[in-house]
Amino acid sequence: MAYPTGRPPGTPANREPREGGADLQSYLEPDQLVAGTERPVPRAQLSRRAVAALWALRIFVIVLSAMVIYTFVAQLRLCGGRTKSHRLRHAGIRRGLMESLIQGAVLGHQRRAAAPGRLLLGNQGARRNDKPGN
Amino acid sequence: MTIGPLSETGREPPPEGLAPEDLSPEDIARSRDRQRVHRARHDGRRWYLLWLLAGPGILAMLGENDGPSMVSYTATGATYGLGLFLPFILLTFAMAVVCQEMSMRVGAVTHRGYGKLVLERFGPAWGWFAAGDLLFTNLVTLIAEFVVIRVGLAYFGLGSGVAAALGIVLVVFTLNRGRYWRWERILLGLAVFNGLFLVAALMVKPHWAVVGHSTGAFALLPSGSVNTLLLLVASTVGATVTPWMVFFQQSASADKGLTSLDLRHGRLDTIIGGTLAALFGCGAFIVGTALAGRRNASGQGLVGAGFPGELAHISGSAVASVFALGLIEAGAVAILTISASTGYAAGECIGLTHSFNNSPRRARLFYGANIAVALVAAAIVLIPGAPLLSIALNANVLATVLLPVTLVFLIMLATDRQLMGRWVNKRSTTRVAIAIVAFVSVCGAAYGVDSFLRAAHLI
Repeated sequence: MAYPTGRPPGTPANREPREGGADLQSYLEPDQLVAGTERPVPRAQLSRRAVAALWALRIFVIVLSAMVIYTFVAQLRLCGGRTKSHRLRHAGIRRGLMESLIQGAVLGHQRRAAAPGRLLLGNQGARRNDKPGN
Repeated sequence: MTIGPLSETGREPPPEGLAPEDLSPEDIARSRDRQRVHRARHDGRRWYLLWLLAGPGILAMLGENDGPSMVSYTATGATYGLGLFLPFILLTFAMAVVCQEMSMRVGAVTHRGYGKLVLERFGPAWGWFAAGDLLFTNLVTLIAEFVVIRVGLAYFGLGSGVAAALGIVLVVFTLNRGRYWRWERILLGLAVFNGLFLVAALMVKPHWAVVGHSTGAFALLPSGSVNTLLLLVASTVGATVTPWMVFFQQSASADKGLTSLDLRHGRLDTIIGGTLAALFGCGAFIVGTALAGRRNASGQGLVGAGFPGELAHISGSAVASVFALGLIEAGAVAILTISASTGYAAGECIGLTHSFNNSPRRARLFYGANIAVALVAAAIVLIPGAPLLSIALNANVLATVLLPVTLVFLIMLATDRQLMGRWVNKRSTTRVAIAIVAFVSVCGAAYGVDSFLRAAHLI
């Protein structure tokens, strides 16, 4: 049987390396050497169903990522953070204060009762009936 | 190719055509580390052996106790107080231990990193997808780390420039000398200071009886909203298990030279890391409860001096300083581990040298990717008006959304009998891992869809 890593997994369990600097390589398993790791592992034979499932998962993840990115962009648009920063900079407001103002604005509309601060996303909607602790 | 039977001396022959003098500097450095391990095992020095073999698990776990995660735990404590989240944090760390143990095992048995194995075993498309996911989430997470370092430094009156410089100097400093062992020990030394969150928790003097009771009682959210619950669950999962941890621990285990003989210690390393990370994470959570009832407490974490500034008003400047130092440490260690995972992934997928046991001259791409990703993140932090807070807020979401693919391939590798031999996953482990994937996928989907529908004003 040909093993993907070039040896039956676990073969070296009983190995006793020799002492001494000249015999350093004996402390490594053969496929642990750089030359050994450069041997590529053969491709796994996946069934059609497995491949289809993997692609389905990949598409699911891409769609979800697109949703998250859309939310991120919508959040930026909503806050107009960048435009505001430019305006503030042109108005001569120093950077530290400017960042506080922008970030304050970003946080201002977020629903603080619903989620921890870093997890809130853009327009996660401050609803009127949301109260801290609810 | 199959290696032949053991020779009379008990040694296996070197790979075909390889003379001892052909060993690369990487092999020699790793052999020296393995020599120490062998001697410690031979002499029965158990604690020393554990010291030699510990590292990747603790670093992955404490690296994930990064700045944004700690801010997140604190914000959760400040918003909800004790209750659902204290036991839930412990549960997510248990999930992380299951995933990271598989990752360590695959790395130790195959001696290959995650990116390289996925690329070779399942084809270039999946390998590059995995690397692309990792690069994207790592960049976003690194920006969040710099933001949190800035928050910690802001308490001491220092700005973004210092935060960026500190992160880059640390990355460059730790990459010096071309030895995995040295790099790992420097990081472990830094990671110890993650315990500052526990110190801060002790300093705020919580009611321990209430904390103990909350840990045992798994109360649901008072609101009972499924969407809100999934949102919080998904984000807390994203603060505990991430794609970079899988890449990092597998590649670091291989780079360290762990073998199948070391699996017990590798497991112990992962469990110790998970326990410490859970303990320190709960420390940050308990500190957050001291802020409960403060106006805007949930949103203070990444604004100005953030929670340290708030804490100074409530519990005094000593607690605030300890907390601020903890944030700086958490961000710094995460920058180092996340950059390393990027370097490993780049080297593994492109097929070039990817080891800390090589000098920067011999592994230019590995070290270059390591520094470049940190540099890009630092540069973005320095852009005036960049939407740092939004990026930081979205870092966990992306990690949660992209995690199922990473975990599915990890399970496929860990259950591959041809690859893993007798160290293949037990059925029970595979079942638990599949349950984790399903859980993460459902929560990530609920979170992503919920955010999208709200952003699109559809609900």
